[in-house]
Amino acid sequence: MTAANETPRSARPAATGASAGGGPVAPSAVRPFLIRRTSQGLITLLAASVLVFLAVSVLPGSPAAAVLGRHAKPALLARIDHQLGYDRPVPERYLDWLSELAQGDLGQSSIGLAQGKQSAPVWPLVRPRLVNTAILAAITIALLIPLSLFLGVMAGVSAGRWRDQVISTTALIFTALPEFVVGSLVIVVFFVWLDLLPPVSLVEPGETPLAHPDILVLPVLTLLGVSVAATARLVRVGTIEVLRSAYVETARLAGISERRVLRRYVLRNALAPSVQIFAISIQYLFGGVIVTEAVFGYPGLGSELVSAVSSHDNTVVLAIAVILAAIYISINVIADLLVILLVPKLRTQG
Amino acid sequence: MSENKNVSQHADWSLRELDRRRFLQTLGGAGLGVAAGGLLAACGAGSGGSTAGIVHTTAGAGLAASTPKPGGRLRVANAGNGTSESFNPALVASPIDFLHANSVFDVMVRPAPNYGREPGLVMQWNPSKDATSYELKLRPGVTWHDGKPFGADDMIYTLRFIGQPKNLGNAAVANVRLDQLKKIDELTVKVPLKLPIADLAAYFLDLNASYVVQDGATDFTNPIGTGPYKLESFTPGQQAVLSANRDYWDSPRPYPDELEIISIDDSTARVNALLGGRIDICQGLTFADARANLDGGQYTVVVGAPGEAYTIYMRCDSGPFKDVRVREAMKLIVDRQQMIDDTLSGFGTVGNDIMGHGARYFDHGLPQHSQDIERAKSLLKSAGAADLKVTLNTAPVLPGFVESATVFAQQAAAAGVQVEVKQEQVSSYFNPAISFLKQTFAQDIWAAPSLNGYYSQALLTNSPINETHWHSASFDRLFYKAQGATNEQEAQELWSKLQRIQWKEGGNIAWCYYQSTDGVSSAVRGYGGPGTGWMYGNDDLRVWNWGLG
Repeated sequence: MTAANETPRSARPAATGASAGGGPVAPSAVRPFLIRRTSQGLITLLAASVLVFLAVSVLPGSPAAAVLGRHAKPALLARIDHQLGYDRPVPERYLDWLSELAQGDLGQSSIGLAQGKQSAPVWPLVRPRLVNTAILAAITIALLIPLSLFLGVMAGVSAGRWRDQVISTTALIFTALPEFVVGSLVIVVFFVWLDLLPPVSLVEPGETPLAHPDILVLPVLTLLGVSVAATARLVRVGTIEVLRSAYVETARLAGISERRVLRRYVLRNALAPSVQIFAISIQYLFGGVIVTEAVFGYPGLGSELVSAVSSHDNTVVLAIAVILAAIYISINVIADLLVILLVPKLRTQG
Repeated sequence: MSENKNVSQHADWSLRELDRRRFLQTLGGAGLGVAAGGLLAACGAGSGGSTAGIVHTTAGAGLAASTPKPGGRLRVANAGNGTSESFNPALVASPIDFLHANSVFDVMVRPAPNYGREPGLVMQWNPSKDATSYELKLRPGVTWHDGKPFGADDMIYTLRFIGQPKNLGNAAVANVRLDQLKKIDELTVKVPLKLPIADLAAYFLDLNASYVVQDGATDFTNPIGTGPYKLESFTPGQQAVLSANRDYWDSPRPYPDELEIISIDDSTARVNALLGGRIDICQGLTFADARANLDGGQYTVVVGAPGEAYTIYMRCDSGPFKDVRVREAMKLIVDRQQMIDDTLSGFGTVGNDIMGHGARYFDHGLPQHSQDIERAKSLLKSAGAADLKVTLNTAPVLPGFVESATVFAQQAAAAGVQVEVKQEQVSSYFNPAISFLKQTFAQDIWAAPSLNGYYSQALLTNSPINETHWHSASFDRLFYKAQGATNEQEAQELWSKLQRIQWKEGGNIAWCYYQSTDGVSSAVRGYGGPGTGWMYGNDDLRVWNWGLG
């Protein structure tokens, strides 16, 4: 979860020295890049799945033990482990699971089977949670991008002056606070003091959270609190760098109006590194979502993951972990692609 | 007619009030102390009986305990259990699942206030003269949610269902001849036993062995019960919605039209849900929240009667605790009240190293073990263990577990005993394939609604959960004698003997009888009141009584 604070350095080089222009991009130039990045992504996903599978396998205990508790006689445990295939070697189990996954099947809930159910598919358990988390994340992202751009550029443009001081200092404070602290803060302000918004975000099964927008406000505020601050600070740095560049100086010396300089030269060039910053922020967001969901009792993917880990529902853990990994990797690919589209020069580099 | 009914209800209520008062009195001055200032009532480990730290709530408890009005939707939340949540009575293990099962199914024996019992679906347990066979008289006029009548076939099926090895309650029917169960008539079942049991019903106070299921039921995705509520929809890890069973035999219960059971894992989020009016009952309040709101805060705190025992247990058959003097010394090392205050915020009464507080035949008369470092030191010295070093295995199973292990280590240092606290993962701690039953010095919590149940599961040579590795043929014989004693006085004497042995020589340092803490809104009625001690995490699981005012 510390990724947001560390990665911006590696994300920056895309920007410096990029030209202010950049006409329409020929699709032919993008395709090889896209193919290369996608296949790289798939390999990463595969590697991630191996790691997650290994991690789940070395966890002490088994679904059968979780269901039967301490009353379980070893013989009964062994029988259920055998039924679930837990007595087979890990590589064999992994390949089975992978081939099912390749066919789009996330498998059966280990706990469900250990409880004696005939069928307990994972996807119906996970799908509504995924939708809920996606809604929360989408709203946050839709607000995160314009807000942090606005604040970051504003701070960057007025670097060192009071406006920057206010934005940067506030952002620094929020960056330092973990989600559960920000979550508690917004609950205190908007529920305890103002009594405007509900302190929990329970959703009835089968209902969309969008039916009660008020329950989304505080979780979104919490996620924005931690992500906007960090993101805006990075955008600010990018903006300052562009402002100091030779071509901005040239533009200014050429007598181009400051407003035009900002819009045409600074913003566009600051945007390219920002895309990477946003990608990182969004990835970070999915981690933050887990904590935020717990704080508000929001039935999303994160809270499902936490309870699946504690109840030893290994297949559910695997499914959610793979879904999260896939989201991570796709965000990366999309961000790379966007940068390429914004900065033509990069297309010709290896 | 209806007037009569009202009168009897009223009489019923005053009786309960009376019981409540008597209960407070039996606990001595502590009850008054609570009224005055809650936590100040810790009178130290006095002589004999239990010293109550906190008894039931003060402000608002009377209201919460009064009769509800019909109608409305009651919403109760507890920590969830993710995809493991279920309505299968064979597998009920987490607090939220006890709520599930208690709303859809009926139990054979109901727990009643003040550790009492009331008939559930079994009206009478009639033993043969030598108590080797029983005739169970079933409650007439009970129908299943699908309209079928409840009867002997269901009961026979239920007993065999409980006996399946996968059923968590199977120990309860270990001495029942399941293949020889006989239907005498629609409402009478003959239950032959392998050996004499004077109080068979006691075994079925274990919740896992108490739910009555329909003849032939195997799949509980759409559970059919006889209980106060019918299941409408269920999303494990999130919520169950139930509607009132209007044909319920215990009419006018249930009072509400609907019941919502909500899983909220985070304890702070759960309290926030209560404060925000999203739920009416918040089970499993943190000790800190309970303490802060005990004297009338934003919600009513309902404190359960002392019941479940927190224990630090020692392996008796090998290692440093094989010597009974060392075990006795360990019991004298611990300052119980300090441990309760420091690790459970005072929510418990001092334990006396025996299980089943409140259960029938529990011996309240044994002298209270309390800290005596000098005597502990001399016992250790005589056992040649003056510089004892032991590892105490703990895991964050419940609030207070790890903390009490740490406090114990500090207290033991005073007697020159070095205790190294080793924390394990919860998943391996209770896993018999990994750690469980292999530990020399570890912790557990025991809900023991009956002595039969606890002793047969934990203290006999062939007991499945014999954590203390207590193996004694003479003790086994004494147990079977006590269990079979049909004369009340003889039974009490024999049970007292068993308890005295455990108190003096056993491997349990049962330092606390813990009290559950729940929060309820001002709208809730019929919740709490005189406690049952029927724990499993929460003292009041009598879903059928709950409602809104």
